[in-house]
Amino acid sequence: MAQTNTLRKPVLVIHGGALHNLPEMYFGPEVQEWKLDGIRRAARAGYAALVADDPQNDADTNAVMAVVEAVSALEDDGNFNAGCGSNLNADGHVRMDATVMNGKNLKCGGVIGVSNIQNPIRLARQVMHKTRHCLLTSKFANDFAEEMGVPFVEEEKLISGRSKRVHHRTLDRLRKEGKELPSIPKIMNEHDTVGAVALDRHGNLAYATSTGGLSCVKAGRVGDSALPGCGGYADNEVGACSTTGSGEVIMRVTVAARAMFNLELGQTPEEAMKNAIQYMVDRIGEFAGGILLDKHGEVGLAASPETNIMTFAVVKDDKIKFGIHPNEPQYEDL
Amino acid sequence: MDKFKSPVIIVHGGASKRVRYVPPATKSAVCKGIRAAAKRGYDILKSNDGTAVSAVIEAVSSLEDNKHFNAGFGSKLNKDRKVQMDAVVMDGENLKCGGAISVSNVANPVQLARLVMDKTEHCLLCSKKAEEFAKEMGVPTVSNDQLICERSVTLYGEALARQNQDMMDTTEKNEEKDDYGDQESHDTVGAVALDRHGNVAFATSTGGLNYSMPGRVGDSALPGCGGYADNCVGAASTTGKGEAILRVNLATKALTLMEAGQSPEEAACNSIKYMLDRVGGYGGIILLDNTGNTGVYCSDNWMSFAEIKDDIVRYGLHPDESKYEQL
Repeated sequence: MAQTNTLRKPVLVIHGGALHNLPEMYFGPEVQEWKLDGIRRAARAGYAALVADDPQNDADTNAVMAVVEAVSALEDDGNFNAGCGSNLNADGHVRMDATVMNGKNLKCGGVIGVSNIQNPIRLARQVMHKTRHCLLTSKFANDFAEEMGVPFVEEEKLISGRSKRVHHRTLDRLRKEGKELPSIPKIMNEHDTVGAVALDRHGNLAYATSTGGLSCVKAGRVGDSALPGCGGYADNEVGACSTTGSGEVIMRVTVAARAMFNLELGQTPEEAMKNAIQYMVDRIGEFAGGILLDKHGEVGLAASPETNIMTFAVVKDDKIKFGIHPNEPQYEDL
Repeated sequence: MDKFKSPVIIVHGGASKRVRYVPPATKSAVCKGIRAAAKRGYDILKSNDGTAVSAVIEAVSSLEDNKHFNAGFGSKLNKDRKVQMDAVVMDGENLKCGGAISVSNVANPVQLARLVMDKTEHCLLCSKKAEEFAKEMGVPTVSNDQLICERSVTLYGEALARQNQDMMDTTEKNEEKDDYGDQESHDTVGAVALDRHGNVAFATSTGGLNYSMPGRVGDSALPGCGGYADNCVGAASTTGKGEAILRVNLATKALTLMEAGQSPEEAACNSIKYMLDRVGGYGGIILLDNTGNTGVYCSDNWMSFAEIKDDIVRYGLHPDESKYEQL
């Protein structure tokens, strides 16, 4: 395939989820270090795909490959609420949602409530490429995984130290609030949904979001991560977004769509993402974080004021800007 | 004393591209059904404590009970010959919403959607767990056969035949040809309403695509796609090629255009044109702003609808061919 002229500087932004209003011991130095290691590893995996040769098939773009690789790395990590490391629902099971969207043609793919596979985001991409649909749910998503030759993974392999820790302290909180399963604590803030957005050299944009859902949540609950327009969105003409936070509230105001709308109004990505979250807080409340790219490669990172941590990484010009919170960036060479 | 708004309701019975002959009896039944649904919703709006949410639930339930529409009873069948339905409702006053995704064996998914909104802390429940929740709530279980009608069976049979034919065909297969089911109609139903207190709401319900992959989820149950409601702007319910609607977030698009100053009529037309432009998808939309102006638009050749305002019913099998009657 002939190389086109480089139109844009490739940019990759990833987030490892936002935590709000938590006691400090939930995200002590050790946890922070694990997350920072994980986010940098994912950044490198994603960026390698972003700057690689053009994909062999027409359906993919470098941007799509980049967000899928980055999010897969976070799914494999065990320290984030996605893939291995996922929260457990009220039945003690791992049920995951993931979506990916190609800003070039607005095609998207997603899985809702999928179990027993290592990388829901990879399956989401298969839905986008190998079916004429956008979303598959539950047992049927798993049937499709089998058709695609995706290996069956025992559930215990998807349950990491993180999964167990979060599960236990959620049960603790529910006990203190006098609630019984299935229920979510009054302020459910261990979200850790992961996501990525990318702009490739051809100007293609993409987003990917993946989650294990809320800890101890009612089985069958579907959050924002499974919904393009809520958990994320990508459109070459505008930008790409991925969100994390209070899933129901993000859905009710379609946060990702709102961020994209703000970009269309002429706001910078920083303003657009911040205002979308503020809009949500003003209309309803609760918490969210988000990453946003416009079509020129400008980056916006935003999180609700009570955010303790939102691990993130921005890769551009062979440099990584990363940190435990957008307000505390560190830098290193790739 | 509060000044009450003049209530408005719009109901649609689904956008589709009808290529084959539709007998007059069917046309008549569809018109009758859509008007009845709108009237039932309107009666609620005119009553003392009638809310927009209750009105849209009533109207959509009426269409779910009617075999001529692809929702509830009369739903299309997926590849496994099973009925899998999606439904959602949203209250524009507080932006609360409730939805059921990929549910089987319930007669009125839109009522289940309301239970999700009112009785859980969540917005969406799916599949088996949504059905278990329905049972917990005392929603009666109905068999798959009770939801099937002759038309669904015929359409299913045709799709199966097309696939079998294709398998025997030794020539080069066209990738798009696995679209055996999607030859014709979509027929998702929906309603939007403005009540006397100025609250808006929407509800959408569907039996999905004919002969679709089991577990396929379309736009209908997704806020921003199958519909949206916000007292600050208005309400929308969409119908058509589900994947296309999802990809452009059609309901959000329409409301955004209204937020930017377009009338519901303009926003309805422009949002549908946008979907055609960007992703080549056809469909329809019903729109209300928060003062009661309406917009109904369809790029397919068929979308039964009925709109009631000031006791006048505007209805038809396509917005371009409206009839009127006085209530």
